[in-house]
Amino acid sequence: MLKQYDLVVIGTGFASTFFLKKYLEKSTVSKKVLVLERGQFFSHASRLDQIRGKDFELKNKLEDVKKSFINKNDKKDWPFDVNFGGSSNCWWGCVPRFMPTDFKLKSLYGVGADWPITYEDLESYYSDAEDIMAIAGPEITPFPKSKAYPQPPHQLNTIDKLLQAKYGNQYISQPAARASRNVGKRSACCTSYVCNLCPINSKFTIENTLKEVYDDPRVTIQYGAKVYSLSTEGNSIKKILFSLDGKDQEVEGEVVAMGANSVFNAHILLNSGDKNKFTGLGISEQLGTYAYMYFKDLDNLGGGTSLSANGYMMYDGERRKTMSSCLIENHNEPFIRNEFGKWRHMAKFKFVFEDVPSDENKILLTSDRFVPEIAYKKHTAYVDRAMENLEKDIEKYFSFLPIEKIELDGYFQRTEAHNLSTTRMSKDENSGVVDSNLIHHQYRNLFVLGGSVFPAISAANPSLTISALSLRSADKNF
Amino acid sequence: MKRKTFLKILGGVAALGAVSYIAVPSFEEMLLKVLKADTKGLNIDEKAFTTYLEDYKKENPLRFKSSKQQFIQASYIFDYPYVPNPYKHKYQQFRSLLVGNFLLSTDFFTNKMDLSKKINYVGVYNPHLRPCANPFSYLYYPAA
Repeated sequence: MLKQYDLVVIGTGFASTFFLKKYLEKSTVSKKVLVLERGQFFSHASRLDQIRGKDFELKNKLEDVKKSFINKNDKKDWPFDVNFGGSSNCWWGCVPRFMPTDFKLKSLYGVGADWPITYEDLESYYSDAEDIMAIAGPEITPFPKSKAYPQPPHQLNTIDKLLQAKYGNQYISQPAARASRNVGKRSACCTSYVCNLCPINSKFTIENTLKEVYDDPRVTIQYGAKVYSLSTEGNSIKKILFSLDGKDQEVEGEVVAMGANSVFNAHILLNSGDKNKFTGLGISEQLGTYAYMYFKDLDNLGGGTSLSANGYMMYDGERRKTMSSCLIENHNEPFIRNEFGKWRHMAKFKFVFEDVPSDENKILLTSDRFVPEIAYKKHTAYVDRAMENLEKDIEKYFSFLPIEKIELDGYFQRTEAHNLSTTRMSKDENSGVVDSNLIHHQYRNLFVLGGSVFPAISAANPSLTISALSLRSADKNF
Repeated sequence: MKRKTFLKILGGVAALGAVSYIAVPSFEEMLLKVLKADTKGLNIDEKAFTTYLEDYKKENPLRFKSSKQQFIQASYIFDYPYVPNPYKHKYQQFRSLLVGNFLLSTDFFTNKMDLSKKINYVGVYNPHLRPCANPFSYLYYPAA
């Protein structure tokens, strides 16, 4: 390891990897890049060994993620992966774009905040990210697209087909980073519905598609490097401070790109003495709840992937002035209805609601410099109102189906496995932490990457937007 | 009432029941009874039940936590029309998962639910060990 690098990248998840990929494409061969990865290279093969109950590599070297932060809220979980590739290892590969309205939440609906960029600013980068991930998706979508998806869509199941016939482009085959055709090292999805660790390596991961970024001769990667702070000099970041094998280390970077996650991006900034009043505030995520529909003489068959479709019927419009946007997912699980002869006369839908980042939910420093506290009190009433309206909404949009009965969970899942909005993007430092190019308002050689920059979080899954933002940021600045 | 609170109350009642010499079946004993009851009418090879249960114990394919197993057991013991259970629909959903995993471990669904065929055990349904076996997917029902 050298003492000084042109670029130091923190983390190897979506945010860091897409940024680094674009940076390398636009930089000269003489550049030197150091990547500090907190975890290990815990390969897909080793993960499969672990879940299959076999001995696996790194058995005694993996960090217990739950011990990496303090969470005093016993109703919430905050899962993520700290090893190479970050949450690309455990995500489910759902990649709907945000809608254009998601970027204008305040001006259109009087709620939350607008983004300092528009959908149009990001559109071409969405296409680039979709190409890199070889997304399978439909021809017609509710959001505008300048380019077709690189892979054909997954097959709709019999319930989806009825919903699409009724709602057109408001009900589509889910855009998925689960391949519909063999591509690269990835196999076509076969609907196993265990996408958190795909047994056939179908979903996009950093490991199976973008590991080459880290094999570039300009790049040095250091595993087990736990970054805890940045030293500053005036309005610049001077050094990156980290622990390696229990020893304190430091390295200089002309430019620093921090793509940890919303918990650790904020924590590292707070540890560094960042005085921006918004740093650490607003941790949030979407909230999801399930509904089970039981049909008369209607089989649910033929779905092409684990989550076969997305519904946008409850996403936009006047409702959003008073209650959350909602994205519908059809969970194409191999469940059965436990009634003789009606084995597949059912469907399982998830209703995923956006929340509005609230300053009362935040990241705090603790007495341990490595361990942040996630002080999450509660989601907002905006979501509760949408939940209260759910039964009526389901009646409105699903009652044309031959439904015998509906069971609503009536509670939110403990997590949607997203953590967002702790270093929000804004026009100036009086309303957020980073600018529209993801550069910190004060420290002008520091990029803060990932879902931590979302000023409003949408009901849609964040990873595609995180990736597109990173491509745009590197493209605009190098 | 939260499910944990409900579980504690049921646990207390179960303890009273045990004192009163009411037999409380183990999870596996309960599972066998559930599987036989809920697949009544299907022509299933008798060996399928015992072999499945042995494999279920080895592989724990549904990865149920002990609290979930306890909830299912308690709900099963007191599954009478006159015993109120505010989470009965959850119990039924979990019970469907158990019966579903068993039936997915047979050739019933791959034979397109053909009631004329004898149903045979083919191996516990566990996609991490035996992927691409979802019998309701496009692989079994391709586009026309």
